[in-house]
Amino acid sequence: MKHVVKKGFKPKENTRSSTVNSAVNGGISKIKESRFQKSNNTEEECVLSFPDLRIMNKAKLPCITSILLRSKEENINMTDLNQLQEELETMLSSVVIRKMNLNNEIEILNNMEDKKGSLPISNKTNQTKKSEERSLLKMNKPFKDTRNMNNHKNKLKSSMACTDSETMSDADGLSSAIAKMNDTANKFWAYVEQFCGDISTEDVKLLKELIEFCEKEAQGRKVPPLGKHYTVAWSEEDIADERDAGKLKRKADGTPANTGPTTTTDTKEAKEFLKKAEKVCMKDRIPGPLAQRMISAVLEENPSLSGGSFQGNGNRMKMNDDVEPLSKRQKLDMSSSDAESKGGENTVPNSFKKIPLLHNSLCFERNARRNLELIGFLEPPQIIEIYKKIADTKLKKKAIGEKVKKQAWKLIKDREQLQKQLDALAPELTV
Amino acid sequence: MSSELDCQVQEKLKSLYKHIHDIEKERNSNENNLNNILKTHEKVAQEGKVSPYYQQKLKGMYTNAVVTSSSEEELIRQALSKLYELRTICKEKRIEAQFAGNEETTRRGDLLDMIHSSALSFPLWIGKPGERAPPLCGAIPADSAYIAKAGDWVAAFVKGDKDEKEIWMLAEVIMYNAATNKYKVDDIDEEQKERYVVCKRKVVPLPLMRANPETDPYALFPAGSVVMALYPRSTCFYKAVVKEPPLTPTDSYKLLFEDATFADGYAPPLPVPQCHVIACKDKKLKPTKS
Repeated sequence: MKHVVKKGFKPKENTRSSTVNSAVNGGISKIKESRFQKSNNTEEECVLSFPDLRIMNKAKLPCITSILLRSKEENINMTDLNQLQEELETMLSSVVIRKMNLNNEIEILNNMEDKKGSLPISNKTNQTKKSEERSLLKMNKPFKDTRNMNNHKNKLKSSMACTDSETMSDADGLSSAIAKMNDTANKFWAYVEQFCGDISTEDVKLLKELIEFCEKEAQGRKVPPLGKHYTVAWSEEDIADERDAGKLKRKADGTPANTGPTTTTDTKEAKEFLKKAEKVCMKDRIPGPLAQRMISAVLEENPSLSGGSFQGNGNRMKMNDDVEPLSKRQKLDMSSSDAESKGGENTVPNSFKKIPLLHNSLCFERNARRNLELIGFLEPPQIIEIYKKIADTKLKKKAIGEKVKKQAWKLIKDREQLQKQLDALAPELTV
Repeated sequence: MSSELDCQVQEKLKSLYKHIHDIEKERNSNENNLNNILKTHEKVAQEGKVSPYYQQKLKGMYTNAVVTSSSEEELIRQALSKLYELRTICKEKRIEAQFAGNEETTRRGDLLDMIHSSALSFPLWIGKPGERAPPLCGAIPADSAYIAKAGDWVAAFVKGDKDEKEIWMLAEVIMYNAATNKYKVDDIDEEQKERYVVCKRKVVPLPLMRANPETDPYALFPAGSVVMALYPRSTCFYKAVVKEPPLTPTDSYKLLFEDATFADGYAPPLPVPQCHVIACKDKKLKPTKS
């Protein structure tokens, strides 16, 4: 018989039947797995499932109810047997399942007693019966779907172990033959499952629980800020400690802690320290040559940064930068007064707007000169021409012409006027 | 002899009646325990966790419920054994009548009904924890050395009357000849009234017990498996594919019989009781419904 069954499950001539048989084998393994999942699942998860332990409803047992209502004389008829058998078997099945569930729960409780602590509750009430039904319904799916049956790594491992043990213990030919055939496939899926299995809601729950647990632990480890008492009391104590330490030092040096007014040596030292500090401060205020060079280079590159901090509007100039020393500004005035301007209207070129940026006096002067040269303010062609004419006439030892004299005087007057204007501006600059 | 059997039947019926009352008493006492457990479940659910106190309480309640459930189970098993005994007595009575030659002739329609109902009356196997379904329970085949008893129903591969095509038919074992390794079987269809001598290889004993899908789903043919099944309201077995196995102890298989008249080669699903479904035999012995 065994031999025959094996042949029946291994047809070679028909491809269709072979595929069907593969589904058969898969299905059988699925059933096995699902069956063992039921028992192992709860154990491994160590979560009480609170199965449905309700007793069978009497409405489902009409024959038994009617027999119970009968008198002894009426007894049971042979015609009742079929229905009675069906009801008794259903009852027995429910009692056996109830017992299984109860034993599972007891086992979980026993396991948890060793670990001690409160048990989490699974929301899978009545799961055993439902999972059983589900597993049976799933049997319609193709063989490949077996991997979906086992979402949980542990579950799968346990089920695999069970199926393996089953195959070993199978006395009948059918199940052993099928189990052997499925062994390779099962092993493969069991191995692959842990890497590419679907993420189930259970997995997500587990992860969430882990996160929550970790967060709780982290919260417990946090040290809260010090209270009022400790912040005040401890700071006072610290100050007192420092004082005590100072006293002890002085005692060690041989000087009394409170000897009234300070000695002459102390005042000298203090003065020296103050001088040193002043020097340091001065050094800090006036930048060194390298720093000046660097600043000037930067400022020249970025004149636009000056913005409206210094504005030249017509003949009026506003200087916001008080850092610029007066002597430097006077130098600027002197250099500008050397030359004659072409007209009084262009007294202040736009390039003067850059002035506030030029913190360094040398840099400022150089820039101002260059800008004035560019616009022909310092050496206007008229002055140069007249200068050349006068020089030529002097070389030729001739008398200077009246025209030239007039022009020269005119230019000189213009320059003098400009000088006056600049002088008039000087108090504004100093403000 | 028959009067003796009748007495036995009456006795068994009385004891069965008593057993059912005992079961009811046990059920009532058990119901209280279970209700208490359910109430505790509700309380625990409200708390959100099972505190050590409830762990101990639940454990005590569960243990108590297991004890009461065990006694309930025992009583049901006793009642069922009485019922199965009654069935055996009836079968013996029928065989006795058969040997005596005064068997009442039944119409074909009644016979087919009887075949169907008897399949459902086969006992349901509900094992104790850790117990595996035995051979000839659901899909689990008989041991190779198994010899069907007289009166057992088998699927026998025999030649038809007119055409010489061999078919798998439902037959009843008359006797087994160990020397020749052959069965003497009787066609279940009374109209034929033929007896066949078939070698053991061509005889498949039908399951003697139904498998419980709730406790032993492994003892059922899963969906997609190729089987041999008794075609409804017929006495012949044909090849079929399981569309859906039974989900409850009283359920039947839903089978797709091979049928060339349909486009996909299969007839619409038909319900067939567990005890009329056997594993598909050797390819040489596979018949298809023409």
